[in-house]
Amino acid sequence: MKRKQHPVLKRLLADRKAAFCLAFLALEILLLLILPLFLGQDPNLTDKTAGFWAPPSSEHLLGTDDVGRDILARLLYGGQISLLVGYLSAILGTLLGVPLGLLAGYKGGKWEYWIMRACDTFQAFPSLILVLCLVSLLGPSVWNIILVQGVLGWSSVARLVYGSTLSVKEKEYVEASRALGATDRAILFRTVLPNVIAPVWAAFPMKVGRAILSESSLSFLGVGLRTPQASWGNLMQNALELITLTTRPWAWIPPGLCIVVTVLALLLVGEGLRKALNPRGSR
Amino acid sequence: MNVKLKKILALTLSLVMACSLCLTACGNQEESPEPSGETVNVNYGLSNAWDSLMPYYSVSGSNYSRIIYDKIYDRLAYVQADGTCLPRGADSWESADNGYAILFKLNEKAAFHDGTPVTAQHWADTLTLVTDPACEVFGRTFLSGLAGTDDTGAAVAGEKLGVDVVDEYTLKLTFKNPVIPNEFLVDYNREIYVLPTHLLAEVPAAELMTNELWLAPVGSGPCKFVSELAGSNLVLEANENYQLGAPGFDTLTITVMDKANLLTALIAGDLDYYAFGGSVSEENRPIAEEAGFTVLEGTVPATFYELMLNNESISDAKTRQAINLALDKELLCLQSAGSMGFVTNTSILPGTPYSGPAAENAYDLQGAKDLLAESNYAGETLTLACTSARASLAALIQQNLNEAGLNVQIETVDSSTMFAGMYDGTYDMAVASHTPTTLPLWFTASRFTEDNNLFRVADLSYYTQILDMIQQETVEEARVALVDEFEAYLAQEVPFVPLWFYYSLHVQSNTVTGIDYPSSSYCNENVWEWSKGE
Repeated sequence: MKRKQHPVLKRLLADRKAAFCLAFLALEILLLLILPLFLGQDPNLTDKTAGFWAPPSSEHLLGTDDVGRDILARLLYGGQISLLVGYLSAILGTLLGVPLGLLAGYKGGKWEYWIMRACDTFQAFPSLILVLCLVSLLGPSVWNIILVQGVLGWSSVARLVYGSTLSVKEKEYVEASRALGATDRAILFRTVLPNVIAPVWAAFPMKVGRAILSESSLSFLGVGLRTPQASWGNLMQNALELITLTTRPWAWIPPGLCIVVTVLALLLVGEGLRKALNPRGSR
Repeated sequence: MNVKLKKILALTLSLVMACSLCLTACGNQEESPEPSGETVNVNYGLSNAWDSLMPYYSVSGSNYSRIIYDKIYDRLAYVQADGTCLPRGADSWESADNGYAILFKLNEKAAFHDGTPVTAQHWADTLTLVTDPACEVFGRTFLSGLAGTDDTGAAVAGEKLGVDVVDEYTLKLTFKNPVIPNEFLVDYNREIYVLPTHLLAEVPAAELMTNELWLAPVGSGPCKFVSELAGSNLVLEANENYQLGAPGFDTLTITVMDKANLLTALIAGDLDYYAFGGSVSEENRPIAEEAGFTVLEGTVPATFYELMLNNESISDAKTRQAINLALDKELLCLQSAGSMGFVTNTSILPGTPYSGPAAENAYDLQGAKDLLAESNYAGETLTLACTSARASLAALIQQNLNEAGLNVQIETVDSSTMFAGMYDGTYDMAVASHTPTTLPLWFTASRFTEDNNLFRVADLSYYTQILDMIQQETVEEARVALVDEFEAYLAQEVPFVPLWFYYSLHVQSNTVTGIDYPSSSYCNENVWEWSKGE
């Protein structure tokens, strides 16, 4: 028997751009996981025979960096880190933001006041500077970056959920649940949540993209990961040197391209999801 | 709106944007305006900010602050790259009292920017003020050699301070131990400035540092203060009455910008020169030359690199020896300094009476492994601190040490955190660089004291004893023998690992002439000899 496709997924896959980007992102993750196994290059080890800043060759397809390390190996391992930071930060931010947004919208009163004022405070502060300060305090590590970005990323999700909850809680079916004696928790998670989650899904890929860019910025500024761990952002740091920028394109164009293409794909998937979840609104 | 109309609109907008871009690019770039019509301004770049305009109140004590003070305030001498000293605030100097004192004959033409002549009394009053225990001076240990001061450089109550006015233009400094005048200047000239004490007569010592005078300071240096935007911009004007001659420009605008932008700003014409000495890496040399600049090779090593070790956490000398052997200094030097560096096993500059034969790369991986096996190292992870600019070098050091069997974790921090972390024992190792001088103890003398036990050596008694003996010995042959003995001890104990010396490359200014590029490593610049054409 042929399994029936979910209508949202069906609409998403019908959007050629979004479907292509989704396939690209899946393939990218697969390649980042599999290719290092076949490459046979340690991303943190100097190849003394190739030397520093060796141009692309059959030995090192994307050349070597200022320490004589294979750039392709670092690009692949760095990609794993960048995507890990991107996806986990977005998940953490969503997991924190959704219940807080639900509470603020549904409960109102003091709940609404304090959660939304906290939201305003978090959103009013330049996020990169805040992330930079917190990462500097906690120390450079993948998990600290994920933690800081995730915790600071709740406010945009909460605001999104809060807005939808305000309108959903007035609907007849919520009133009906309440009249039937359902508890607040049951109403929130069984009745309200399924009806407010659509924009969160749509915003999720964009949140991933933003987290990747944020990690790249931190690494570019030198406060990201612990040396010698690679990420697309700290590979871009090579471009800080004028001589590298002008004469060693192999050192910074590949990580730059990876960041741009991945973030663009995530944005297009987000856009596709938005349309798929709200087919009337997208017309 | 139909699709066709949308396309036409998009095309039109794109065309308009492209045209505006072309028109902008074709337009003549306006020259950046000079401060005023006829003013000849020298734009000077600096990669770090100064922290105060009061020369004895620099929290960081950094060379970036010193290079600013060098312009506004006068010093006793001008120290050249090779360690020879030329007259500046003092015309001449000579040893007195069997080497225990130095007589400085001051330049009689020297005057403060308000016109008051600089006399020996000003110098004496300055030193009396800054040795006053009530005065909140930052880092006055350089004065601890003066008679009548304690180990911190503060005057001891009841003892006579070793500062005397012999006559109006003769200053006498008396020391606890014999001092060679040239060595004193090489070591401390960058720390000693004359203050306008005639303007500070009513100011209590305790309030000296916070006095309003330092917001618009009056010095006697080659440049006068005009304005300051704290931490980013400082405008000075030429002191036409400077005793060594008036600088050949009207104003000097010092701007703080990122180190990575200094060369590009020079090429773009936004800067005329940048500190220190227009230093450029070997990698960026072709860029500077292609842009029409001449690159000068330094004649004296300008930087000394070392791996600081925490002798408390790495307590076994065998572990420290293993670290020394595990480092492939040639490779590290090549990565960091290109062909402009040479490895060393000592902090003593080559070409001085105290330097030994040229060092060979002591890299011996098996030797390091053997020593490590004999040592008390139990596989713990050692922390290697470095600044972000040296993260790649640290990664290479980490690989070297890993190969020998040492576990190393890198911490990328700012410079002050790194030194503070070494001082308080947070880090086990750190990569640092310093500006060497020709003195044999330029590096070691200040690092093995109770106040500044940077390498956390448990027992300093040998260091204190031998350093005192070397400093008190005035006969060169005997001194060389003592230095050799000390170097042999350092090689055995390895409290730190000397890595390499680096010769600087200097991009010469195309607009300002007369700059003595190499001597900037002593934090002094011959501004009075600079000239910029109108």
